[in-house]
Amino acid sequence: MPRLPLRTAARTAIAVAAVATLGATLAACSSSSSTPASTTAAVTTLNYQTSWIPLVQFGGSYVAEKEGYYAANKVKVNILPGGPDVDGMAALEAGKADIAVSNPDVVARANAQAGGNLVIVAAGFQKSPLAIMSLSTNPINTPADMKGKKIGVPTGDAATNDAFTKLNGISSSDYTSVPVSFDVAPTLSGDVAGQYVFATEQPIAVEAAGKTPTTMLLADHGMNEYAQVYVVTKDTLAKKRAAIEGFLKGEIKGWQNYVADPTEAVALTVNDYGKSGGLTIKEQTRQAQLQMPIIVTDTTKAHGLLWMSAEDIDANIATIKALGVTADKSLFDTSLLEDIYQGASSLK
Amino acid sequence: MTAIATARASARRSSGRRAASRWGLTAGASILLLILWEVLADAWLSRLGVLASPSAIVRSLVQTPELYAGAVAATGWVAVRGWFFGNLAAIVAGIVFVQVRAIEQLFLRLALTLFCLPLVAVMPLLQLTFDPDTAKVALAAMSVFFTTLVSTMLGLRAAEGGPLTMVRAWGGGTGASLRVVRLPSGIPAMITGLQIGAAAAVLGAVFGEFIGSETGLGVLLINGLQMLNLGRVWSVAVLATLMAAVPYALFGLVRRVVSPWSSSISTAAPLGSTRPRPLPARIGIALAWVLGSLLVILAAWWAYLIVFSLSPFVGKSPLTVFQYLVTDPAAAANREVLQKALGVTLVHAGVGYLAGLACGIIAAVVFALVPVIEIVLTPLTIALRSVPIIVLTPVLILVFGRGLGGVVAITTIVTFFPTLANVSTGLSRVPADALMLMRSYDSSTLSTLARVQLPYALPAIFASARIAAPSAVLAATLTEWLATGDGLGNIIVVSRSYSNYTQLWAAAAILTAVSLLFYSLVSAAERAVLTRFEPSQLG
Repeated sequence: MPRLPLRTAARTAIAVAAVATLGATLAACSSSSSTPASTTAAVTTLNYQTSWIPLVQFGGSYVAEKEGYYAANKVKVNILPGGPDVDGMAALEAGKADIAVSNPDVVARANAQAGGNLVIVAAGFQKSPLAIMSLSTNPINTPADMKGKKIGVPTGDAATNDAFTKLNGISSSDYTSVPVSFDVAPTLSGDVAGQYVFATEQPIAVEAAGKTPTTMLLADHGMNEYAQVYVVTKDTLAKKRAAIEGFLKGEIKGWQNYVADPTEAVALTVNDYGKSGGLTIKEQTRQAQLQMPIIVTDTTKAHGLLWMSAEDIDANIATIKALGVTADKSLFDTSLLEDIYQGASSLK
Repeated sequence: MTAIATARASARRSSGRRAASRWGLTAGASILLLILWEVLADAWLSRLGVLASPSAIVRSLVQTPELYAGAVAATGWVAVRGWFFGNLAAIVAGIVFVQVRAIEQLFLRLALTLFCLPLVAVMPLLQLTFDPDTAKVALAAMSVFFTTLVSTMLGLRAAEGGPLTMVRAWGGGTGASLRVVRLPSGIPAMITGLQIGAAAAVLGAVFGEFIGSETGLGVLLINGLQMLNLGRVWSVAVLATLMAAVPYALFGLVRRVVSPWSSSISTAAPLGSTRPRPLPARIGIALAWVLGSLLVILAAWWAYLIVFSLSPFVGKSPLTVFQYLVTDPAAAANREVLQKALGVTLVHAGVGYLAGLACGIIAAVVFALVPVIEIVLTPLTIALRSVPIIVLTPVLILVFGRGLGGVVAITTIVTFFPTLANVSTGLSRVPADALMLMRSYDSSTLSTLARVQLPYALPAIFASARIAAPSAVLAATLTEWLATGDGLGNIIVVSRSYSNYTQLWAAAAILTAVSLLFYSLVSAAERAVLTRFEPSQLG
């Protein structure tokens, strides 16, 4: 299964290293807490609303907390689990969360209702993993392959589907769309020919069922959008700017660790944060691998993880406009990232 | 008297003998069903990714018992608290409503409104209103409240006229009537409410985890669905069913223990009701109550927004909704979208309502006539009610399609269970001397059913028809969200993903208004029929 099988010895070494680091961190914590604090700034507590139940999708954040990357930047982060019915934007507006992750078009739509109060400060996934998945026996490789077929569209993605098909010259009479949920039973059972999925997640289920999935990324056909962007309200940014910056530093360190080797992130997800979710190392390792190319791109290699380049922001705005939502550059604020990296391409 | 006693004793003896062979039959039929399930799943449905075989479920349960135990404990604790508080509130409210008619007139519609609110609309509100644990308990409590309220009122009003007249003749007031007559005779129906509530509380607790959780059956369900781990998904379904079925069976036993005294009370004509007022006055009074309770609902809506100081991003006031629908420049366009969707939803709800009600009543009658069928199928009916609909949907779509067939199937599953439970209780609450009379005339089973049992069960049938009305509307929106992708159910989900909370509140308000109207129509029909057959239920 894994493309890069780690030798047992190597894995053990990593585990030992992880435990040692953890031990050192704990020792550091306990020693610093026993001596009177000499630093002036106090620790700020932030609530971070994730969008789904614990998965390696948030692996970098788990590493950041466990390795003390947040603490080193004087923030204590409550990582709140999400789920299918969590509305992160509402949680921000209601003050239940300081930071939430979402997709740029969702943020833009919420802004249309919230008077432009929300702002994106970093981009976790440089490329949206949203894709149409079909079976290799009846594949959908290009938008034209959708013609004459039944496509499963989760209700939340209906607008995206409309824009995607319009962008690619497919009219609504060329195919049939029906609602589906986040399981791939409709495709496996032949109820639909293809359905909207996250290319990083559901194809694993199809592989496990012994079939070969074909995934067509929307990003490869004109729908250029970030995913899992970090969102805050403008009030929070004004009042807790230092803390938000500290949070992002911790995140970047956590994701750098993940990119170097996702083993620790996977282990933390399966055995700690998501231990009651019945996850497996095998599935989460696969998901971690599938996520890698959307976290690490040429842009992040040049400017650092979570970076938002001017060209990518323009592409995002164009996509959001194609969805019929108004948006401009004020939706994105790159100043925190600029302050953090200071022109470097990684955080020490 | 001795003849009756002998008849009862011999009936009890022969029922003991019958019980043994009945259990044999039940076991046999259950094993057959299991084998059928295994064969169907192995040969066909597992490969399509919609249904796990019993052996796959057992394997999954045995492989990771501690995982499931932890999830059951987490979800169970939420369900138990939600069940307790929801039922407590419902029983107290039921007693107050029956004792003080004015309060019922003003607040019953508010209770109904809470029941009618679509889950998709309620979830983000709960998430923002309470801490995560309280939000889940509140959702479970809301899921059980209304059905128990209706059952409680049904039970309290089932008190026979004779004993009530007696209490009054001895100088007892409404308090004494409640203590001595209404509460004892209402207990069976209340217990039915508690029984139905078990399944609803478990479902509420599972869905509560969809607003963010690290542990519980809902979390296992989400991961299982996403990875299409069918063994996991259906193990969760089986566990949810067991969590609903165990209390269902336990309270069934409790009811059987308390029933003999309440069902053997002899019946007598109730105290003559007060002279009816002229028709225009009656209509005027009814309208005044409707208007009053509408004011109560609007006041509660506003109070909720203020008390919990809900962010205006999510919380929309009645005024905002009014502007959106009436005075806004775009109001006409807004209305048109919602009207079109409402038309679709009404068809779905209407068809589903009739199907669900018919299925429930027919099942209850068949169960009453052929007890073996009841024993064999009761676990299946509880399963259908307690398995999260999101798990069943792929199977249902595969079998019934995404058209009206699928709509009918899903709506029926959501609505028929309370009908079955209430009507079954109603059929079994026939006074012993009425049955004895029919037996002494050598009446056939069918004739006893038509002449005695069904008329006695009429209040239960109508109570079910009332509960089923808003349930059918809710179920129709659920179907629209999961299978058909149109109607108001779709609008609500879409407006949530667009953060268009004004449209969401407007759609929810329209749905609720339709449910209230639907409920009132059934109530009016009920009053017309019960005036003739069962005046005590009219309060």
